Amino acid sequence: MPRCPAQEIGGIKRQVGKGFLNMSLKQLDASHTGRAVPTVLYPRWRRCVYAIIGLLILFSLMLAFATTIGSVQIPLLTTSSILLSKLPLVDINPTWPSALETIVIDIRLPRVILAGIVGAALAVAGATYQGLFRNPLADPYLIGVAQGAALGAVIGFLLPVDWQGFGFGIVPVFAFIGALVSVVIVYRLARVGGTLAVTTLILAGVALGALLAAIVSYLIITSGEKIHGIIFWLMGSFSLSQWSEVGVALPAILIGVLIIMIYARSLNLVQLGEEQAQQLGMDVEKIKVILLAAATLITAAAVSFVGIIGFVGIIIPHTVRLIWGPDYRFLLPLSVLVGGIFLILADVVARTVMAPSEIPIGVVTALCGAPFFLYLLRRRTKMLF
Amino acid sequence: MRSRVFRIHNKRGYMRLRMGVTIFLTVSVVMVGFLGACTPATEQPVPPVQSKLAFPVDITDQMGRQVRIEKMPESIVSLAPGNTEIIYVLGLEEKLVGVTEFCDYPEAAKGKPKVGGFSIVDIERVIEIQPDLVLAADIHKDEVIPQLEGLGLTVLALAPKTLGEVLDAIILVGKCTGQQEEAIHLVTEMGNRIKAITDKTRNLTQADRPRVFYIMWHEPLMTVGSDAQIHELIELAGGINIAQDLGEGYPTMNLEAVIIANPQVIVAGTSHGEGANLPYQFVLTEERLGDVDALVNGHVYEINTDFVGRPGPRMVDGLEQMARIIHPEIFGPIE
Amino acid sequence: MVKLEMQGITLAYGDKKVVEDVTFQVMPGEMVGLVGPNGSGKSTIIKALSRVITPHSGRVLINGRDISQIPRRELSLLISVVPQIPLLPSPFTAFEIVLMGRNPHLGLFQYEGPKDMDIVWQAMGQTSTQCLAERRISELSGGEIQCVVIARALAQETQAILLDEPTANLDIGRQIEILDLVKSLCRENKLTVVAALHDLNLASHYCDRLFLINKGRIHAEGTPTEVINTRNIEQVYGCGSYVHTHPLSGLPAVLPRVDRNRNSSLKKYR
Repeated sequence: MPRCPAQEIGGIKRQVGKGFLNMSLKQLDASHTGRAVPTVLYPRWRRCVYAIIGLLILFSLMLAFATTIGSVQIPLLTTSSILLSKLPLVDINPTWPSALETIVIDIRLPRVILAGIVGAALAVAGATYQGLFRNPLADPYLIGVAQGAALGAVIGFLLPVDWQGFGFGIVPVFAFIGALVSVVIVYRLARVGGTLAVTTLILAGVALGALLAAIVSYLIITSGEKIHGIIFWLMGSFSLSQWSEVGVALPAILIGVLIIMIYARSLNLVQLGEEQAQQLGMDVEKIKVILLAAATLITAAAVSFVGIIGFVGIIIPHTVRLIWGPDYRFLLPLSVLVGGIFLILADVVARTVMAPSEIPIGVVTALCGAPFFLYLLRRRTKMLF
Repeated sequence: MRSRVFRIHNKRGYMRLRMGVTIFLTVSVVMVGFLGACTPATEQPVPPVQSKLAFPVDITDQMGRQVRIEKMPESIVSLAPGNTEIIYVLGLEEKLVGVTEFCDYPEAAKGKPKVGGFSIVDIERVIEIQPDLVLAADIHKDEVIPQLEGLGLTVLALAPKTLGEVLDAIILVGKCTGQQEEAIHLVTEMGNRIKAITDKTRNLTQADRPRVFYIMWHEPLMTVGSDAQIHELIELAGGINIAQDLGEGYPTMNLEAVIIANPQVIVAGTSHGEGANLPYQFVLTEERLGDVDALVNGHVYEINTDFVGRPGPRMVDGLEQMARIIHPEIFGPIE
Repeated sequence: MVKLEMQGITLAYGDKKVVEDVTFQVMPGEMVGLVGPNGSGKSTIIKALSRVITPHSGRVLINGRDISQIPRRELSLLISVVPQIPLLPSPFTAFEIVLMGRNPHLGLFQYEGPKDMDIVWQAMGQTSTQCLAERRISELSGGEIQCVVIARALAQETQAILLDEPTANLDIGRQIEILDLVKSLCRENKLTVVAALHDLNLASHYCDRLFLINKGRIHAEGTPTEVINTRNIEQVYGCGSYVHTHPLSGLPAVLPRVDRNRNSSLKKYR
């Protein structure tokens, strides 16, 4: 039987006394000798923490960088001045035409921010579904959110109502309602007795999704000339994003993501299977419902404003897992950052490559993401799931 | 760069129009002279005009096809709304026995039997009718026309891409149906109306031509490219299409690009049905367009797409509307 | 210190009754074994004790309280379970798996602290799994996984431990080591241990009391000497076993039977 050599255990005992949280980063660096608890876990944790800090900085840089790029060439200095002038306590005399300011502040900035938060939302939702269902193929649209939102949006398009209540029309509202209603239906179908069987949830979601998709197709055919707008919405796009949309999407997604991150350790436990998770003290049914609701909320909020953007929800969590491991306490924040950065970049590509026309963002995400993911897969299959 | 493109295109358009109008004016004069003097003309570059043309007629249609019309058609089927309007304007409505669901002008056309929708044609119904002549459009090129010809019908394809070609199309139909006199009369009148506008806009300088943004749809922002009929109308009416460098067809534009282009006139295409004027509503309510010249000065208009997007006789009306929108100081304001 | 009680428990999957009217008690400091043939209901009893399945009738009491009324987190501070075939997600390392055992002790917003790390490390030391700490589950053998899961149960620091066939995949050396550990912890810390074992010899050697389960009912209960005798074994397991006394401990041991008829029938295969 493999026993640990005595001298190693001796070295270990010295290290065990120190705890992770008490150590400064410098100390963590020093404690790399011996097969001790620090070397077992702390390097991985350390790497993840560094990654989170680094990606946070990168995310902010991305936000700024993306506002400097667009179909209209604006000098970097002008863009920076415009952005800086909007900060409180900064007073710069405007020397630029107001059209440029409109472009940077009212067109590009909300668009870039929305891309960031939608990317984060989809990545976190995908990671959550993958964890809850213990299925690597799960994505945020698994239980009918996308099809429900699509049906809601199409109905919103076809209704002869012209209401600009919050600054955006009725389509996002209907899309959001459609998404939530379809998930509630699926949930009701799958909840038997006091338990929520995840396999039933998936099957019900797929079935309802197919039904809704058929209805959407029929409505599209009979939609007359609104067909263009509908198809454009379905393919996903950030054009015409405005601050009013950010104002609604940001709090919803923020709340949802925070709730999910609180239960990160539970998501780890759920990987053991519901039986073992229960035996380790987790109230599986309650937490399943909470996580499901939060993940659905952020997906619905994301999809309602920008349409159905595929690929992000399934690939980003796997990419993060391959690089940084399966621990949800790091997987979730890293997914937020990687997802946001990825979608901001994808949006930049979508609106500059064929300027002033735009490529649908779903095309860009697939074209850019798939090859990278395949490369990663070849390098590191054992970390997949 | 932009003006060079503009000049070349405009020149071609102008020259075609001028040539067309001149030829038919000459023909009319010659015709009057011929009838009045009763002396046979020595040589005519165009065939002699009579109320009953000698059939069969060999014609090249607007898709380059050689069509032979054996005898005077007594029953005609139209596969496009523009073609239907041409038929009515030539006074051939009694012979019209089949239209599409979208043929809605004049009102009487709605009562005719339906043989199809936009690009889908109910072949069986057409065969059942056995028309002497079928007026098709360019969207029918790949499938419908070969099918109909294969079943023995005579098909004339009308595919006018410019205003001049619309006039040609009317002449063609007139030739095929023994209504050449009517056709020439109509085309002359239309030519005059067009000339009344182009005379005044031809010599406008760049500075006098307002930047025009034509919005077809708002989600995504779709406008008209350099080969669209609407583009030609804008140019003829004395404006500059801000999307003219974006290629052909119906390109989409970024909101940014529209703001930077700063159009002085915005024209929104309004069609039928619910949500018909959504693009117009969008332009008026989108805050970020607020600083654009067109909105600051209140030069935002809607125009019925039947007048500018449908290749038919009413396109001249469309041109006149466009001219009044773009140059109210010359042509009077649009009401 | 925890006293576990089952009162008139009937467990059923749908209409099929798997366990009928089982009643027993386990006192602190006692190691109790559940033995019986395959499918007799041992694992099902363990599941009922940890509230994984709800009894059709009857109650499970822990220190007099009905466990169905106790919130899960509190229950997991009292009882830990070593499952029979643990499904473990492969990309996690062994250390992380054992660390999950500390979950009941942590609040929603808490992270594992140095104390938790020490306890985990100690548990892994007791089960000799420290060398496996950095290795991923996908790289471990069945026996190593078994030890990791036992370490997790130890890290959970509960007063009662339920073991469902804990030695199924282990070699004899490890079997003895693990059961020695469990027994010593049971004695020293006054734990309440219920173990479902298929190996009668081990059960006889380590358990203070045994319950012989047959077809969902308790066939016999008592000390190993009382329970493991020829008649009980024959009635429950059929012929073919021979119960004798261990020469050193005096406890019963079970071996395959050897008799003349059987021998002669095997002769032709020699």
